[in-house]
Amino acid sequence: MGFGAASELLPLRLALIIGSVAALLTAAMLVQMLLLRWRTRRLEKRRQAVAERWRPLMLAAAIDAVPPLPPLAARDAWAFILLWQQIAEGLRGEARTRLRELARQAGMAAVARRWLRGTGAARRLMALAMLGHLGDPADWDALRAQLGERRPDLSLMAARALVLSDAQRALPDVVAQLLTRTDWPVSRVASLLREAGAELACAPVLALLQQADDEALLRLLPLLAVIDEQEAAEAVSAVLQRVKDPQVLAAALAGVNAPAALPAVRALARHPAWSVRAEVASALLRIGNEADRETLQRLMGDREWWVRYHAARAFVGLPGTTAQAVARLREGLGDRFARDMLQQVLAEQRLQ
Amino acid sequence: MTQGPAELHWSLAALVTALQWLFLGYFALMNLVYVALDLIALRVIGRDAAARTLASLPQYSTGLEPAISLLVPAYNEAATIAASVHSMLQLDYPEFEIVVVNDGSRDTTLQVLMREFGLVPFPQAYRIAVPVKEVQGVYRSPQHHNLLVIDKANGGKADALNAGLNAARHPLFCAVDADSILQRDSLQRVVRPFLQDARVVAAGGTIRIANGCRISHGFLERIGMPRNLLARIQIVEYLRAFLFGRLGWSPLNAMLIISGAFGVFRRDAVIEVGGYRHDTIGEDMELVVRLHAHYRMQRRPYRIVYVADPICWTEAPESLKVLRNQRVRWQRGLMESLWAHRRLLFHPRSGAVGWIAYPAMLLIEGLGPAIELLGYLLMGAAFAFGLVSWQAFAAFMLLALGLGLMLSASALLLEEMSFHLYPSWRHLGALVGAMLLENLGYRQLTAWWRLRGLALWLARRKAQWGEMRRLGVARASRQQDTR
Repeated sequence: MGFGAASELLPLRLALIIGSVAALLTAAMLVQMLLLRWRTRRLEKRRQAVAERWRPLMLAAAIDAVPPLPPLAARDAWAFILLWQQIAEGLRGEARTRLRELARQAGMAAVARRWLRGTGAARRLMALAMLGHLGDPADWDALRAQLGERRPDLSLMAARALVLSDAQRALPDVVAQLLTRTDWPVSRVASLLREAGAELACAPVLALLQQADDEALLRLLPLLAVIDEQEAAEAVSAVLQRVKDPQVLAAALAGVNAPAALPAVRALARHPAWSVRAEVASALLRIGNEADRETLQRLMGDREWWVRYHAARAFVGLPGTTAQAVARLREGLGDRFARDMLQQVLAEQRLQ
Repeated sequence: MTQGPAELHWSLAALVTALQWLFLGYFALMNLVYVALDLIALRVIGRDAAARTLASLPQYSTGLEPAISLLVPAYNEAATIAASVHSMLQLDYPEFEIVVVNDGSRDTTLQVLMREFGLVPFPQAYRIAVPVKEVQGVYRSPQHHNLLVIDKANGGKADALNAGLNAARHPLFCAVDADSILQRDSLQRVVRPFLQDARVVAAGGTIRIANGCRISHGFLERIGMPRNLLARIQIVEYLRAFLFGRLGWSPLNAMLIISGAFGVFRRDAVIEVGGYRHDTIGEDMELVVRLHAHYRMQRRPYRIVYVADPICWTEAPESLKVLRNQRVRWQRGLMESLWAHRRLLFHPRSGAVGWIAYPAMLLIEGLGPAIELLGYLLMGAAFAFGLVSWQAFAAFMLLALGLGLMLSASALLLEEMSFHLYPSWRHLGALVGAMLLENLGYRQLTAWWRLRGLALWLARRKAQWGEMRRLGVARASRQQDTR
């Protein structure tokens, strides 16, 4: 190529090379896009065909008994498992059991085992979900091995698969992971524990909280919502007496739902951190009684808006408190902030 | 001593060569950054493919989702506010409240709200966590307990958001434009990062173009392709900006922008930094940069993340005039936000934000339009005056356009690999056509407007709420900025 002057040669050659490579890459990406589009549409058609054929059979199995099954092509396994999961996740009890039987008869256990040994994350996730539902004891070790997987979605799915297979056997292993698996979203863990059942989850969760440090407590305290309120109250009381960190105290107070924790809650009503005082007031709304009237009246005059708000709500919500009595009290209050807050809370109550 | 013609020609040729190196360096740097972001985005999209498959399975509320306050600033939104609030009330989320802030509208926004939702005055013990203009009234709806309306003196969008922030009761708040079109599960999707990582202080979602889509009762019913060419081009532009722009910065914890149309923040974090700033036109970006600066300088752990799922749809301008105004404002907002936090630049504590994202944003998005247009102009002039050969001119054009096309194509490819929202062949053809047009004229035109924005920022004109006339693709409405 003949450039105008020697001085412009190098930058222009570079421009030409980079520009040409970019143009070629653009063309390559467009081709890839077309191929992807073609492949996606083909897969979508197959998925629809599988759904049309298998959905009625799956529903029939869920309602009554597994009907005679047609053969399933290997290339349709993905679409089958996806459809199966969509239906199975909405079912419980016998219906889900029969659906499991359908999957076994369709040969999905072998497919899932093969996928689990592969490297593709999506297939491994699907395989874990499938094997968990099928619950074959022979797969236990393979599922357990996946608990240590680095990717949180895979390890968490392995945990769920174990819980689905045998919750009692799985929980000690799964709960033991919670101290180190900070990448497991606590909401997903809570769902998993709910699936296992509150009774089974109770002992391992309580044991876990006993050994958790402040950081772990902050993350794990919401799990108390999963277990029995009375058991949770005892655990919370222990935490409230043990820890000093205001953030952890506030998180623990947020989990208080049973009156057994009242003494520990009341002891924190004068805590220097407003977030703790606000949670004390909030907890008293759930479990407080007549004896807390004075404490709440004092908290209604707190310097922090949130403490006043929760205290006013708790005060109005105390057993045996009538709107007239609160209105009378409001008139007699010397503290303007407390008066305003009571007025707001009364108005909220009227609207509800 | 005077120069002869030969010496003058030699000097000019040397200048042209120097400029060629400058532009080549600039294009190389710019595209190196973009390609790096693209590769990161590609990795993230590949990694999340499995999760997207699982997301198609039934999802259940865990009961541990944090409650959210939706803050909806409204200024002269009488035509659309009722429909917007009705659609927000139908959002699928365990616990949320809607706080509409009527920012001294000159139309009947407040009256419409009062009539439509049977609002009654409410004796709110109004909390002033961040200072705002005078609040003239607070209203609640007896029918919808989670709807609160604040009527206040006009103070701009930032002031309205601050007023909402003061009234918000929940730990997270979601700033949302009054005419944003949400999906029923928008909140469920955008809240996920907060559930996964306690360090997350803010999360932004992908904004998509609603033009051409069918909207019913405030929700997106069917995705379509707009007939208007400008809107089509903006689809490609948004894909580029969101899919690899923000998706690329997010894993580095260096995302500097969360769209004002839809973003979720931790209330205490935003109050701690003083709420939204009134004196900037880009209050959404400024807040995010300030959060970065705050946490980085204090060496406190935090995350500002991006959710790639398409969760909010907005109407794009369909006329050049409206688009020009929008881009001029965005550029001013960008420069104001960067300038306000210039101490981040190469600060020892600023990490990836100060050492990568900030300089890249400043050079590529801030000063980029000036360099790019200067490049086109000077190469054109040098060619016209015979200082460079036509081959040289062509090589530079190939470089500029080739790289632009490559990046747009990669955005389309990412979309194809991930969400695949435009399913028909006709859609694909329209997007490829828009991609070509985006690089052959549109980008240059927007670069010119952005240059004007840059000039206006230098002139430091006072920022105001932008009034943008919209055609009302989804609803007849005026729309606030959506970056």
